[in-house]
Amino acid sequence: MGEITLKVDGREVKGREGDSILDICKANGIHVPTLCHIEGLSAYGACRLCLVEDVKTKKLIPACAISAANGMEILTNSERLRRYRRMIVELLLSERNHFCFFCEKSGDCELQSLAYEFGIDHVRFTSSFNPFPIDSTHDYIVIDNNRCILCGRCLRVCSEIVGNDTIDFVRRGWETTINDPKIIALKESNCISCGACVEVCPTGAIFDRLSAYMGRKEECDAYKTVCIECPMACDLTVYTKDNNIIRICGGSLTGRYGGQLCKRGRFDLLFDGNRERITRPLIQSVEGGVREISFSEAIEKIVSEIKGIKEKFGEDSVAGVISSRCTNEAALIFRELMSRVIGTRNIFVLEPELSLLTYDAIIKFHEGVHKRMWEARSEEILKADKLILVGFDSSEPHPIISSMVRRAVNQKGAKVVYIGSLKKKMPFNVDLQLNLKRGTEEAFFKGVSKIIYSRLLVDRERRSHKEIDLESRLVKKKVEWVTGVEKEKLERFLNYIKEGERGIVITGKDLDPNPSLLNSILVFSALLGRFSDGRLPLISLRSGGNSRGVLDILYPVGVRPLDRDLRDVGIRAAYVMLSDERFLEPAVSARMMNLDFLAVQASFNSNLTLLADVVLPSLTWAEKEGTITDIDGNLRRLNRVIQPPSGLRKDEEIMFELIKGLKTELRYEDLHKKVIELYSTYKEVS
Amino acid sequence: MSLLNADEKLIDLLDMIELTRSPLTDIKEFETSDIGIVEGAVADEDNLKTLKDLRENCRVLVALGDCAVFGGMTSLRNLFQKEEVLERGYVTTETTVKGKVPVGEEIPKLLDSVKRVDEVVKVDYYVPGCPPSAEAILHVLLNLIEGKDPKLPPSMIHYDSYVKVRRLK
Repeated sequence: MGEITLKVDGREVKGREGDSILDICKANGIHVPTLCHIEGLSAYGACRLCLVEDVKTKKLIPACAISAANGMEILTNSERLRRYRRMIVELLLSERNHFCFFCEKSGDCELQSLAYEFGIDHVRFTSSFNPFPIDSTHDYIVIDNNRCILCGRCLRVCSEIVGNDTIDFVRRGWETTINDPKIIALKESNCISCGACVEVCPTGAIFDRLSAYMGRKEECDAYKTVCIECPMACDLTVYTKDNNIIRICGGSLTGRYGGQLCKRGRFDLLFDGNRERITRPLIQSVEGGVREISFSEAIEKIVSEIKGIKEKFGEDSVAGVISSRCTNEAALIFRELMSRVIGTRNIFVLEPELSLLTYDAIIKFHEGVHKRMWEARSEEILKADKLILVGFDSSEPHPIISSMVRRAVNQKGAKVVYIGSLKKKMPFNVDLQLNLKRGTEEAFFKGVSKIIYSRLLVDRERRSHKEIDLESRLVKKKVEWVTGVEKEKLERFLNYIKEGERGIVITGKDLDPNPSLLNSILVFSALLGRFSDGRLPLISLRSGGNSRGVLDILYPVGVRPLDRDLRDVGIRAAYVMLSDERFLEPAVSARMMNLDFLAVQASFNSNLTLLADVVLPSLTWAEKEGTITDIDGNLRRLNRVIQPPSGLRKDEEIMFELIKGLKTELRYEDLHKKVIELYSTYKEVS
Repeated sequence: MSLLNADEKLIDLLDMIELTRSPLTDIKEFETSDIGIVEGAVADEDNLKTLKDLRENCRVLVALGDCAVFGGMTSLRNLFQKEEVLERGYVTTETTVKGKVPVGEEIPKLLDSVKRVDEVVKVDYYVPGCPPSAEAILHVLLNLIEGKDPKLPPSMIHYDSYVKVRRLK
């Protein structure tokens, strides 16, 4: 694209062909007031505040929506423009209820700050006082149409970034409101409570209940960190006031995943509900009661118990259990503590078996076939033509992936193929649904891979067409017979995955944890092609916030899912490193019921801490510092947002105390070196 | 009340002006003055009469506060019918037993809708804010006394209570 030169307010500025006038003005530090425009969404031209004057034609043009042309002469702040802009703001202020004094947004409101900018001390027009509906049915989001200026930011973000199309303009003219197009309450709509509309609303028309009236953004301290609710590790901007989290916003709309957050990241992280925080080390005393003890006493107790059991029953009688919400640094020291200091081979991670097996399959696959064949980056979903979902559960666990699929379907026209034995309703158009008989996924992928492979051989003309045709037909028959897929559907599927099309496989949690099935899916995805960075067109969805990082670190020493009663495999004592888990499966504590000694490190009371002999307090996501590894394998920094209650220690410090207590030759410097090494294995730290 | 935040500057101000009428005396008949300051919106017939009387008796009229400038909190009753509002206030209030809407010759009648000051009479200058800061009020008064243009600069305009923002970052 060529460079163009134009004159803005008498100054010569340069830009690129195709840039809007607004882009060029912004890049050159020329202020043009805007209201409906927001970076990252399509230009809309609804508010007309960014009008600029074309000197040659004397016309007023919206700077956000019109591309600059070479030789243009533009005025951005003439008397005529100032008059019109003032008029627009006055009209907006008088159209609906824009009384600031009891508005949630006052102080952060973009309409208000424009009115200040233009020095509006009164409005020349009479207010209309026409009441509009308020939708307060939703658990988190309130839509007050009385404060709406119809800028359309919310419906653009809902459609363009979230891909959900929940809200739209309803009715016409001055009766227009923001609503579900079917005019049903937000609670009854397909809203996924991601809160993207709340974040972009320039006025108080859409706000969230939890943060409302808690404090203006400018009164708060803002911190950048990442979300650890799932492995997407979305960017968070956390606003705190007096060491309390007031509101959580996403990243920039032009940034990672469009700055999206989901319900869990934006709203659920805000409050811990009524969970009981553990602030002091606790010990189960002989009399049966729970009593507070000091840190050193707790460490002493754990050390002596573990030492005793280790001497009596051997190293492997001690188990380490780690949550996949821990930071990489904590996981690394945990690994050293367990495998080198205690010397146990029993290390468990609180992740579903499927997640571990997938990791294992990928490692083995890329060792056997090709080096560095990792899973695809999640952005590849947006570029794919065909999305092949296997055992995909779209609802709760991965809303960001779901919305990327929706965007690929709605905006890029990608086709979705759903393969699985469970019939599920997806929140996007599924083009082809292949319902297999239970447990026949492996046969399906093996068969399909065979057909694709023979196709490749045809292309390379190593074998005759006839021979391969015959073979393919046999395989197809067999696949149909075994999996119960109709002939036409199978044909359509095979047509879909022709060469030259970008297909991507996404595996969810509704899949049998079976290594050979996972391997067949890997082979299938490898046959679909590879991305330029050498990655497989496969994305497997895990659950824990740092599952990738914890597995990266613990895989070399051997890690297992917690799938059996620990006592049954000869384990007498366990050290469990939890974090701020919102929900702990009852099976977890059931499997540790019969131990001689159980030490648990956790932020909140749960059924497991009740069972423990010693409980150590740990930090929550907002208090932790360190790094986590996201779904794409990037290292992301988790920053401290609020100060922890006094006397609480980091996971690393607690474990280092344990290492010291167990009296080994392992020095702190060595551990520190390990952490540094860990950093150097990752290229990007963001 | 917000004017009291002007602290010691009030003493200097008092040297320059003579208060002819104020809420302290609560006399609602006016003698000719230079500056009239009006607070609040026009809700009933009595307000209407007082405001018109004030306008006739002063050279410059300043609307002070969000109610006078925009209609403010008082004007929120415009979202409902007058009868509904009276019913809600005197009869259906949760703590009211056997309530009724008061009537009587000495009780001024409510207007159908609340009007802001410049919908009734001409206003010369506006000081919005809920409340306006003492700084803004003084700016207008001192400039008027000195015969300069008392229009508020953008930095002094605010529509809600004035919060000094702590900027820690």
